[in-house]
Amino acid sequence: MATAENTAPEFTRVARGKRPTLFEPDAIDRLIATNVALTVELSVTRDRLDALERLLVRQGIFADGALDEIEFSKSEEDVRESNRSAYLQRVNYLVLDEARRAQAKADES
Amino acid sequence: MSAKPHAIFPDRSHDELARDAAVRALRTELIPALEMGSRALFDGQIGPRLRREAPEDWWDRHRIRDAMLESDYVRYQISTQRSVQEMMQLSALTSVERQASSLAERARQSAPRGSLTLNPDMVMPSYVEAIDIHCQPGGYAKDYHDGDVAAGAIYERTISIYLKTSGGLNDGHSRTLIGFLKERDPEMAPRRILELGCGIGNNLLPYKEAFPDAEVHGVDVGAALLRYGHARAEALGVPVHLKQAPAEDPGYDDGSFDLIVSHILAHEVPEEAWLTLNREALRLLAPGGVVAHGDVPVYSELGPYTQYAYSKETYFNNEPFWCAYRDRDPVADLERAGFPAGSVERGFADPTVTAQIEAVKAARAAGDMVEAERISRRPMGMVPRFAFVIGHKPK
Repeated sequence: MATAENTAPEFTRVARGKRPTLFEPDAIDRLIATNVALTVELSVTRDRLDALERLLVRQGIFADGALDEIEFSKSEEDVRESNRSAYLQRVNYLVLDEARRAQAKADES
Repeated sequence: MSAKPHAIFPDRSHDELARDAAVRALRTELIPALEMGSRALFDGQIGPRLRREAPEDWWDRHRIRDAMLESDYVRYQISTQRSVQEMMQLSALTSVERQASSLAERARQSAPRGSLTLNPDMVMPSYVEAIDIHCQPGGYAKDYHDGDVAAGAIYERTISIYLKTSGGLNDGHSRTLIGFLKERDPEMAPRRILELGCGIGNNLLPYKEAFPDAEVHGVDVGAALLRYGHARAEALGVPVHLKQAPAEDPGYDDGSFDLIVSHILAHEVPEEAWLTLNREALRLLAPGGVVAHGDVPVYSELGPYTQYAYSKETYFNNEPFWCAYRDRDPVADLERAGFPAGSVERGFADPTVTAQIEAVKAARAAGDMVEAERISRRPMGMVPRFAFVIGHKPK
């Protein structure tokens, strides 16, 4: 690992030259870029979880495969369910908001 | 942390390695899968339509490109490919950035066996500054701070992803060219060798191994590439001499070299620079000397869809001279630069590829573009990566 204190200036993150636009509106190109970046970051997270699990097995914290055999109590499962639901609400905030507004309009008429 | 190929290679944390691995997986799995879809779209729908609508010139790569780009699928493919390229660069860049100072420190050499000659007054060729090729932010000539090696470290990190080697020495281009040259002339024994556009020297070091008695030199425009390359060569125990100079004007005396080479340089420079550097190579060669450039095949050696498929590099990979290079004839170029007619040859990595390219050219000459494309695709999904042009200076 690096030891010396890093005093180098911040690096530029964008390459010179026109970025190609494949879609009209070009927001689609931006969405694709974010999609690729998220794919990479999710892969990193999965690798990290896998590394963590292997480390815990190696250190004898739990047995290999124990994670797949774990059973949750009813109250634990309720918490997990509720966390999952809140997560889906956050991720789909925009389309769910549209759905709610459409429902409100339908209820009015 | 995985084993590093040499002491100067940047450190990689778990997440940085995982990020490289994710980008490599996207490059080796997603991108070819998307390309298979594009090709199927061409074979099943777009190609047949073009042949009906424009029987005279359906095979023109611009026409094919325009037709392909009408498809949302194809545009999604190219947009994704561009983003994957950017992710590759950012993955390497952010990792190198956090350790920039320690890398620069580590790269300082107290008692080198080779040498490094930088020229702060060198005039940077305008094409180097206009666009960052391969989307490396800042470009290959970027110099961030005193003793900076970042451009070189980033470059080695990205080719380790790009060439799928995860930390080998990434020297396949020169090993292939050396094998090709030695097979043609087993007695070959150059005393002085020069590589033009040597970058971090990854393709330069094998020349010292192949010709241990030779003095091996490399020039490039990027100071940070060369600082990194110098430290890398020293770490690997290979004495080479690196100098900051453009390939068009390396700055040596007449007849200084017996062998002058370049690797994937030809498609990175504009035509005028390409002709100039070959005129200069002719001057720098001793009588009987050889210049050998390794690069990708040109358009006249490929079928129509394959031409289009490779022309996409221009869009997603910041390759401004890629198509112009591929439209030219490398043999004619060297003759234009002054090599005597008949002294320049074309060559490929192995006999199978040579036969394949000859068959493609024959089909093209006969006007059978469907056949040219069919042959271009053998073996499935592969095009020959190594195409050489060799010029001989008369004795």
